[in-house]
Amino acid sequence: MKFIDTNAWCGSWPFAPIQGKSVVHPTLPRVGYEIHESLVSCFDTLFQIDPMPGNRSLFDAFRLLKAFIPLPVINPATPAWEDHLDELIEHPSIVGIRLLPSYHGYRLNSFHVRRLVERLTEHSLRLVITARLVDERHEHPAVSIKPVQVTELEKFLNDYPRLDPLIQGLGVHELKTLSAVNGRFRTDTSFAEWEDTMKVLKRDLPTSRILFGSLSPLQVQQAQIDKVRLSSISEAQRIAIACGNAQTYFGLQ
Amino acid sequence: MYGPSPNRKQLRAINDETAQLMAWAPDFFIGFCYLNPTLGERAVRSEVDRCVGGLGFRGLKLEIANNARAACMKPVMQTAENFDIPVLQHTWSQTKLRLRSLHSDPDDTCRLAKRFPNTRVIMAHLTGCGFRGVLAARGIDNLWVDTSGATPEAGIVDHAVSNLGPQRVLYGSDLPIRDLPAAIGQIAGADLSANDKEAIFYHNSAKLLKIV
Repeated sequence: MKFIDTNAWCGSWPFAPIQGKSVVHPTLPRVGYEIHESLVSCFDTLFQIDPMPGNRSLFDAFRLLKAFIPLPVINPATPAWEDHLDELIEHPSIVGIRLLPSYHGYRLNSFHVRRLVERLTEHSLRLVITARLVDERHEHPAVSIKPVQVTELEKFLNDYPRLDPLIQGLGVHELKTLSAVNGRFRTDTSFAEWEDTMKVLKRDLPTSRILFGSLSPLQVQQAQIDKVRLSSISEAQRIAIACGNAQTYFGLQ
Repeated sequence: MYGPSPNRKQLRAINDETAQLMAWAPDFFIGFCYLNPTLGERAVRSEVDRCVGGLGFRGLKLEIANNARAACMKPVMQTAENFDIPVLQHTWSQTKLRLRSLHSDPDDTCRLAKRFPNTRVIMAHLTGCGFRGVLAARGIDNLWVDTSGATPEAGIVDHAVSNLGPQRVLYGSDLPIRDLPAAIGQIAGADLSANDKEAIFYHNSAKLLKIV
């Protein structure tokens, strides 16, 4: 089974010894792990006020590696974010941009996010929102980064009924709550987990709205793959979650 | 089902369900007797006698009725020693949760193992214990960790093996509130030798529970 990983990362992560597992290594995600393509963002965009050095290194690293599709990060709380977006949309491989409101300290109802949504819509780019990267119970004691709350996401979805963003890093209970009030979003598999996770998710979300995301290298990629590959849902549904939905959503070949 | 502090009748019902599973598939299910230490010595000994002495359970399981440092743990640990069975203690780092009156931090469970060196202790939920929990567990000969709990975070199983040795790590799934293939995949996908993975998946638990 082929997989498209919509939630892969590269760069330096300061809180755990995972450097050797980075997707920067060009063979790791593809040998034996069935990953066909990965949408990759750079950790360096999280902790630096200016995300562009991280974004530029991302495009440089994967310029010749077509299996890795850069998913750059915009920080709308920085004054120059529109210039950053102008630079990013010049890259022919760009399919969308990622927001990390919890890491960059802004709310989804801010003026700048509204302007950003307008710009993305003009350029037919997808919006990926990271609600959570790390289980907040396991964070380093020096940091306290709260996940984006379901109520904030609900209001955002209500404000932009035609946007259809990909919201990553939500747990099964959060997805159940959000889908009950507004189902106009896609999600990934990275933080959703229960017994036979895909079957549980399918009760509340159409499978067409579930995309595979491993959160590699923060999470064990094989475990995330097996969560989908060995699920009891139909083969057609597993294939859709593994790669078909991402192909359609991001317009990948 | 009954909250963090079940009474005697509720405990009995829980353990009866476990016994039913063991009866259905005796070659597959190994029962651990769920206890509430706050019910006192008499209640603890009575339920352990019934489940371990009578029904063939092979361990004791403790969740969040009390912290592992509490005085009420003494009869639990002495009973486990008398029956020569391990005690599995729910453990989660309290650095962020701050629920320590009920939940046990890795420091608490490690202290428990040190206080009762003749009783084998399983510190449950490696991912919840985190890197600090692994470091706290170093050098405690009667302590094991299990890999259950939370999403399959990278690096933590490898860290446990390199700090504690592969023989100290036990596979755990936390079913039915986690995904079984993900729990297995966390170990299968770790940077470990095939021998270490086999030990974690099977041999270490088999030896600990004396089933080989």
